[in-house]
Amino acid sequence: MNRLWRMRLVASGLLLLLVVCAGRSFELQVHKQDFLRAEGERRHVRVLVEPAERGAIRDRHGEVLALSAPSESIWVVPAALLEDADKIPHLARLLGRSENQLRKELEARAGRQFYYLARQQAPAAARRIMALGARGVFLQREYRRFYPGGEIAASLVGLTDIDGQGQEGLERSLDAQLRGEPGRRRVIQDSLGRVVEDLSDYVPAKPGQDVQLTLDSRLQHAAYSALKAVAERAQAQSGQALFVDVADASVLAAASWPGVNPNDRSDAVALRQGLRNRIAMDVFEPGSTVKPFVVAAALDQGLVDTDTTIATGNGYLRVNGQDIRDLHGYGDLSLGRVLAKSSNVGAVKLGLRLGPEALFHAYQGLGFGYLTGALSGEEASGYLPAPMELGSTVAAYGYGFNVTMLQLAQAWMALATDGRPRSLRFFMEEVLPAHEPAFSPETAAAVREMLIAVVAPGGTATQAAIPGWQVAGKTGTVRKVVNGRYDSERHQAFFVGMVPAHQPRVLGLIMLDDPGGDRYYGGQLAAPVFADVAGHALRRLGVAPVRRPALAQAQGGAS
Amino acid sequence: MLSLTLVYAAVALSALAVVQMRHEARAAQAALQEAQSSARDLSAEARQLELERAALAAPAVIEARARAQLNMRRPQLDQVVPLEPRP
Repeated sequence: MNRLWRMRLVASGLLLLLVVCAGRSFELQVHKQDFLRAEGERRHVRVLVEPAERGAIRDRHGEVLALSAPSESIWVVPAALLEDADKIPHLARLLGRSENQLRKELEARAGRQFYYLARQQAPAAARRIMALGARGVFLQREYRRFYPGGEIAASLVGLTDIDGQGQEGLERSLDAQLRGEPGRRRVIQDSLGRVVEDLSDYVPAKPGQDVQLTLDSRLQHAAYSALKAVAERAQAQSGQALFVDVADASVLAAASWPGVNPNDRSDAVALRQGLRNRIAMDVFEPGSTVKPFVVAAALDQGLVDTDTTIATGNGYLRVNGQDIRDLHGYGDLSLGRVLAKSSNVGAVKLGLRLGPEALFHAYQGLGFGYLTGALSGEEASGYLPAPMELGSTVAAYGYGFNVTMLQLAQAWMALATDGRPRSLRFFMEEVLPAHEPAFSPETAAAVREMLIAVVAPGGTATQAAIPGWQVAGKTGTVRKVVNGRYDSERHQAFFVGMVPAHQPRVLGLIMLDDPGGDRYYGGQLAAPVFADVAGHALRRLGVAPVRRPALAQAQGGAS
Repeated sequence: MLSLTLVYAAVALSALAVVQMRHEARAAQAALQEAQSSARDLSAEARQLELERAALAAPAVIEARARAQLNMRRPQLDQVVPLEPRP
């Protein structure tokens, strides 16, 4: 009897245990299943992002201007690494941090499963760290952006941030094309962060597309070096140089000084300021560099012909309460001499014959006041006021409105070719339509002929001459506006030139802002940069030089 | 009886073939992954080399070397003979 009861007691005890187990099992398996599964995944399933390779930016010959190369980022599971205490001193040494510092860094994040210890290390350095075999230390491949040209093309190319997002310049405006799409890998990791198993849904990374610019790295280097040398000597605030292959309106060099090295990220603020793309964004009053367009407009409308002389008298004229002065009194000047001597009085007399409406339409037809579309998203549009405000006095020698370097280049393309302004090309595959003609091909040729005298002995830009080729061009020396007034001590020095004069192949524009020394004329500062770089470009493009006797003859005929 | 034996044999053979195929598929998958990863590594190396080449062939470096080590300079105008293409 006693025995039977004991058996029943044991059996019911066992049954009770079974019921408890089954109940607990039911609770975990059915009732709390979703919660527990989510908790498990949260701890062990991770989505690893595979970075996409960012497209490269190359020059016209395929030389690299910006390239992403793989680098290794080191990440850790802080708690796991802290347990492996004797590896920490070695690790700290390889990372160049103190042991204490590293330990504090890890302890502060002990609860986290993922912490970047060091980003974008060279592959060799990363291998040395992994060779320690410390627990909870892992590599992640990332792409690091390199700019082999350094400061030379930085203001045009721009830069990305450390995560590979375009921040400035073309890196920003072409980000969608360059970026690509990162891939995703869902994996199960153990408590040390090792990948145990790959889950099925794997999306491979899509690399970004390359962009090929029309720049020629060597000419870009030549332009930047020449600009830098003269800007430093003249103690200028900044400078720009733009060189264009007239044959297809493609930009050969677009230099901006002072430059910054985009590979050096230590000072982010200075970096972003230094990367300002002045060629597209800075506006200025173009001064005498637009006088040829006034002559062209007057010729094209039949108001003057190539034999007309303009009386500039003693070099002083008062119109509508404004004083207009030349450096000297030049007396009667042919149109060519008006340009060669850069006579303000002569330009204003032509402007008065044209009148505000016609002058406004001439400038508008050249594209002043409108975006050129060459670097969309990065351009300023400049400012061309309505005819009444523009007038036709100071506006005839380039004051009272402003333009960007891109707009000035687009306008000069009309003189260099058949009278049609052309937007510049920065990208190899891009074809931009020519604009409506601003003046006739004959007018363009006639004005080019006149502009040869600017560079010939007696002109304002003798230093723009290139031995072996004939240059046509125009200087400009503009007073800057400071606190709302023109400051007679502060200037911008310009030269715009075309070569060979009769059938231009290279167009170059140079501007130096606020030279600090006593030399501030465009002919002194900007013209030599043109001669240096355009000469280089002619040789690079294979434009045959004219022999000396023929050259002397041509120059004799022009002046 | 004979036909039943044949069917058994066929089943056994196809089972073996399935095992074989599965094994081959796994091996091929592994080889593919290895090839992909070596393609990635090679492309990474190519980029690294391209960067090194760009650094070595930078116009500034070449110009400095040409002038200093090789004593080169730009040709004077009378040292250049333009060649006309034959008509």
